Amino acid sequence: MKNMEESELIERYIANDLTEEERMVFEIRLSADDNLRELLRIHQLVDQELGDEKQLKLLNDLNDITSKPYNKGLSRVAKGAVAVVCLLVSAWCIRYMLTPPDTQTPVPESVPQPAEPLLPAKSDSATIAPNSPIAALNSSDFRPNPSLDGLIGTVVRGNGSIEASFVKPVPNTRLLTQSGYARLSTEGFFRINDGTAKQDDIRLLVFSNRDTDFSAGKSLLSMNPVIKKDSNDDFLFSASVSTRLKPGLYYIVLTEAGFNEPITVTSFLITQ
Amino acid sequence: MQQGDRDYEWLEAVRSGDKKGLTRLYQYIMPSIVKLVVRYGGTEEHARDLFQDAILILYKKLQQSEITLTSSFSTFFIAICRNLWANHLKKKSNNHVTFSDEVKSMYDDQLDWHELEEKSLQVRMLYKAMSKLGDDCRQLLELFFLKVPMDEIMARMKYGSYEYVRRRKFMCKNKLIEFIKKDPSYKELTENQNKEL
Repeated sequence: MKNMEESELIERYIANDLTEEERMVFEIRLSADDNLRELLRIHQLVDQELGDEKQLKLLNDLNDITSKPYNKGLSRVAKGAVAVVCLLVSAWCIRYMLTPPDTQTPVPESVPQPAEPLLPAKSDSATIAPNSPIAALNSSDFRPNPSLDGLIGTVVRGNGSIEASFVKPVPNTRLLTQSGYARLSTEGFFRINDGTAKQDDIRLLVFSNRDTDFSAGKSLLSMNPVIKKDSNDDFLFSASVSTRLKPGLYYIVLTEAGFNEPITVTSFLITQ
Repeated sequence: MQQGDRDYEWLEAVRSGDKKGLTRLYQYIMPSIVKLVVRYGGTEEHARDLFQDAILILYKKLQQSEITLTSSFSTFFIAICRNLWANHLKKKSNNHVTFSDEVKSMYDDQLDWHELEEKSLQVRMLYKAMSKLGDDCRQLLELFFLKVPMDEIMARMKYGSYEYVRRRKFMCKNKLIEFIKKDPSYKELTENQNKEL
């Protein structure tokens, strides 16, 4: 009971709710009583810090966030190896794009000039010729996705334990559809640099060019990779699927289960 | 997403307390924090606490004033964690762990590291004490701290009288203060404050 009365007195003092006389008596007590001073300090601290609604919500959220497992750390990727892989992919890409496409699809005699380049030239990829069949299609379906396009050929996580690269398809490979279906095949390799990741954690997800946020986006499809270990302890993956996709630009994202960022990305185009 | 955009997004997530953004930051940066902590004898649990402390420090700082990033956000954030962890180790033992102060010194003119660390410690101590209370007491105090009107508190908590609410509030608050006084961080903070006086 005494505690309760004391607490009430302290609260009234903080709220400036004491009469002049009560205040004087309280302050005299305060100057002589260490325990009362300590109690006053705690009351002030509690009122100040726990009365901040935004901060209270933040603390609740932080507790919730950190109670969930995080994506296990990946060790630092060998930059040299990544650079070599990027160079190889770029060189392959340029060579491929300079080779006439192997296509049976008749090219329309007259195709309208697009208002803007459909696939702006990147340093490591060629542009689509304005008179190509792609140029005649809806440009928004072929517009590069800035969230994913910049990640092509790179290993995104600097502190990762997985380094990976696509060998196939090279970026912007054109796939033709037959009766509305396209045969999508992918191959590549990855290396696990520490024990935090497992080979079965690899995921291959296909996104359209309209996904603006990979971590919140939903993949159009998930490909089941077949994984083999090679003599260098690297893993080779391959996956193949026949799928119905409308003409447009798509991205294959290699990621790790439960990890909501790409490890590496490649792209392909569906044309009719 | 470009690095600059990401830095901005994370700074904004901390400033606004955006849960989605903070979750992304947690997923991205935890492996680095765990590595740092484990290398110096800590556990994943310590790393989680460190993440919370660092967010709180930044949040408090951003409520007061702006921060100009002179490095990437993740470098900055890890520097805060490293600093907190070094202080923690210093308090726990006599082993003086030396971390590079290069990044810390980049922000010295913007952050009062000691004050912010103390604030964060205080807030987490209070929050921990609150979480030790029973649901009923915690809810009641939260409503009081958020200055919800008495009538509404009575209705929400299904209490019968104004007097009961008042008495129960003081009882819960005294319980909270008891938990705070028992917390080891409280002793540490009190000693620090006495040293400063």
